[in-house]
Amino acid sequence: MARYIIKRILWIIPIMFGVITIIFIISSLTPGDPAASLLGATATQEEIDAMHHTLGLDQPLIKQWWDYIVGIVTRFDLGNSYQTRQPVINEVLARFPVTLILALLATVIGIVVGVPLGVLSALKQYTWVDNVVLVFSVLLISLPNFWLGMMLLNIFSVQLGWLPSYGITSLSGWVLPIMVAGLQSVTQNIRITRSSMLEVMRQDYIRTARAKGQTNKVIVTKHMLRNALIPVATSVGSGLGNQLGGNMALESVFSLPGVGNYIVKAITAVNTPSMLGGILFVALVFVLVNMAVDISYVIIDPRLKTRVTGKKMSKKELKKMLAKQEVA
Amino acid sequence: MSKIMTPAMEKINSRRKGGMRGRSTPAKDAWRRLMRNKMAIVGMIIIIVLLLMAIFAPLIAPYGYSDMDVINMLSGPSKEHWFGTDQLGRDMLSRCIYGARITLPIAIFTVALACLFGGVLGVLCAYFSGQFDNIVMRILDIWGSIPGIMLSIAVVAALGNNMYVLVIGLSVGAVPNMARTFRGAIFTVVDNDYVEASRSIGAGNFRIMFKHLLPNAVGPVILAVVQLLGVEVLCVSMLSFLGVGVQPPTPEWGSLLSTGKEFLNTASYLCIFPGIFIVLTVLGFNLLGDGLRDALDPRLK
Amino acid sequence: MERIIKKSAPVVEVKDLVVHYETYDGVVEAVNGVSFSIEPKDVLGLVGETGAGKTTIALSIMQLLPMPPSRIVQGSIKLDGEELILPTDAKKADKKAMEKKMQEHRGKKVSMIFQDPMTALNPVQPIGDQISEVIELHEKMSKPEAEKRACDMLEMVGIRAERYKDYPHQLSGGMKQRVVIAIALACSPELLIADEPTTALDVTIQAQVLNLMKDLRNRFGTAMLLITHDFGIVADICNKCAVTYAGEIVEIGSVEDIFDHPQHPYTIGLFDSIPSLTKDVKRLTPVQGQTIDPNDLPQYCSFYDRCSKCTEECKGCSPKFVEVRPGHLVKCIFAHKEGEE
Repeated sequence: MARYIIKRILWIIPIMFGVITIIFIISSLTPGDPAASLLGATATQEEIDAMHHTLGLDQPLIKQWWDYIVGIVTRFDLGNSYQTRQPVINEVLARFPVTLILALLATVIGIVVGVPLGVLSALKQYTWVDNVVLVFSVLLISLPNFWLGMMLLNIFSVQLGWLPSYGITSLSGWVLPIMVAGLQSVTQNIRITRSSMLEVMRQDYIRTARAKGQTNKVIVTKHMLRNALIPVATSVGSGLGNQLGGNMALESVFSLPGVGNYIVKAITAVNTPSMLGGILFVALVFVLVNMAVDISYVIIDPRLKTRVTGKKMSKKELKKMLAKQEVA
Repeated sequence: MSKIMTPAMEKINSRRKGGMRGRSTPAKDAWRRLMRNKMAIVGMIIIIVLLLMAIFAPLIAPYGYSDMDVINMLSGPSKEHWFGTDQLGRDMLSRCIYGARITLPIAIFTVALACLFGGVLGVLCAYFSGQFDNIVMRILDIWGSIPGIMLSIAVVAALGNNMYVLVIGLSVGAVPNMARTFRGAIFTVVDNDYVEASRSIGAGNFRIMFKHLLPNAVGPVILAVVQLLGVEVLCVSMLSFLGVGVQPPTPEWGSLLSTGKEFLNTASYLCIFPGIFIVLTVLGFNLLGDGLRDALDPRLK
Repeated sequence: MERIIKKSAPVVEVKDLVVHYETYDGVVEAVNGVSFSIEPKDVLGLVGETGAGKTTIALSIMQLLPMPPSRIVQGSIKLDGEELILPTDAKKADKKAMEKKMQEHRGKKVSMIFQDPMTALNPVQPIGDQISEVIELHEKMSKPEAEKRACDMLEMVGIRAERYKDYPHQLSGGMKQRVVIAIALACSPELLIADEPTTALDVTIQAQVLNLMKDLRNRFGTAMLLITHDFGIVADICNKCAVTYAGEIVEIGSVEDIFDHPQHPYTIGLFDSIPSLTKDVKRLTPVQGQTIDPNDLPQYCSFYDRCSKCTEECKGCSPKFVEVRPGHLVKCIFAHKEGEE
């Protein structure tokens, strides 16, 4: 098992290399002179040329690529912002906690509310409960999250004045963004849990469990859920990744000081290093989250676990298990 | 034997036109199940209405999308302007109607491109398997590690901020999933004996891929296409909202929301209506997608 | 093979069972008036083509039919004298009480082996636990005791007890089926229903499984309802046999009666289509025609279209059982009592 985990962790390295390379290629294609942008409009040609040298822009492309990778891996150097001249990595790190908290809370709400609703909906298929849940979930998943944010902002902040309209200076500033992000997560989970449960409910082994005379309650908890929740778990994992990446516009609407908003502002200001740096940061976090999801998949699904560990019970363990009966 | 008539049988007999029903193929079965799904029909109607609206926009819209009614700037919904006017006096209803002409083609072309590239990759992977498949899947892993929207933003930043690049950027973000869908669908049939049989009578690789494998992938692919269309409409509107790809004054719905955001306090209707159009469009695709998924599932009776 | 003399009360008694599946596209008349009884130590072989309603009969006894599409239109099923079928207007509370009683019976009084072993086991539960689960449900035992009993069951079906914690995907098809059998027999049921238990297995495993079942019948007196389309298995293990077609039993009797003196044209046709070890023929003789569509059954004899002996008379009525010998019933108007013409 440990070997598998280590193998999986090592696989991150080529992926990160690949992701960094993609960003590098895009960055080299982006029009504009980094040196000129950094120095500003008043710079002279000599200053620009000197900056070219400092930034290594006069080197062949391959060397630039390698330096870029080395810079990221060793110094976490994502370049400097055109606007503030500060290292992008510092600005991103300062904003990451907000984005992370939003993503985590939304994911937790999604699990706590969404999964039980999905299970309920599947168990009560064809009744009004299922129909209502279905209609609501398909409606909610069709809403752009930033638009929902604006509408709620309009109602609760502009019209009713209950909640602040921007920022998180007070705790109440968190309420609306978490509600919107959480709603998205809840809806996703409802849909995937429901379809996973429906799939499991039709399986032959459920009929076997009934043929044993097992009660409905135990069939649902022990047989159905244990199987249905496996795909749900992986979806939740990738949902966290989606939250990290997909809340940019939401952060912008609520003026939250997160990485998403940072990227949005960088787009408007044509601040390429900030934009690409922010994107790269989020992408690398995404890679880590995916890796954690993959590893957890092996731990929770016994079929994969045995394939990976190949463990079988030995004669000694069998004796121990039978001996328990003697004591009882 | 003496038949026992139950109420259910009476109902069926009265519905049947008498005699044998026609032979049904899996495709016909799926179509019939789809037609019975009310939500899917609602979805289809919504999409058709929106398509018609996009096509016949000049005939339907009361005003041009850049016509400025200088007297009535920033006025709320009224008899002349059902959805109100924006800060330059342009009629919101017309702008929203014309908006379909921007969003729908972008989404459609994006999905088409993603299908083309993703499809080719997926089919080749599934068919040739082995090392080729391994390498391409690793590349797709890396490709898919960057969240789609962010990748699209980066591509547009690199290649130019216009609609055509937006299509390219969005499809770049959508290719990995599409490739996996095609690959998965083909994998389920590539082992079948009739592939081997075809090969044994001399059919070339190309022919096998097109004539035998691709038709079987149709089900899951159509489903993925419909779902992706919904996703892409959301992506287009989000990117336009952020100023990527589509710029004002082009009346794309997301772009309208972006300008409307400034007036959330004073003229909130500027934000309400374009958003509703987005929701309806995505809803249409999602309803149809859900219905398709249920219709294509052979185990659902 | 000894003839079983009528002994004590039957373990299960089915009378005039009619089951329909109501789908949007039509009503499938799966079972149309089936009656039989099984006594202790009896092994009744239920033979017939696919779609003849055999599995539906089995699921009806277990009360495991999926109740939306399927409906028990009429009939009675008595398990140890206890009626299982409620009238259609029964109150919800009664239905709930009946379901609770059935839960006590399932696995203990009557248990079932299903056709496809590959999908019958819970993929995320160790096989030993799947056996101990049924033991803990019905026997008053502590968990370690139940686990020990489960180990014994594993050994009895020929699987090493060390494999207790293995998962189904680590087992071969034959071993999976043996686990299913262990689950079904763990609480020594009075009636074992086996739905084509060996169809998915290869011949050597088939022999093992059948020997296991024979052994159990001899040791515990378990009555069995064995659903199969293989006459060889019937000859091997059964003492009674019922031939089904289109949801009806067309001929029923002891195995000797059916094999040596078949009277229904369908039964005769089935036997004729079996390739012979002794005769040399150019072509096999199948039963002509196709199995009838259960959506569209006629008012007269269902076998009419494929029968070699049918006449105009057959179209006018619906045949009833004729007792051609004691215990041997045939549903055909041309059946005649032994000694008659």
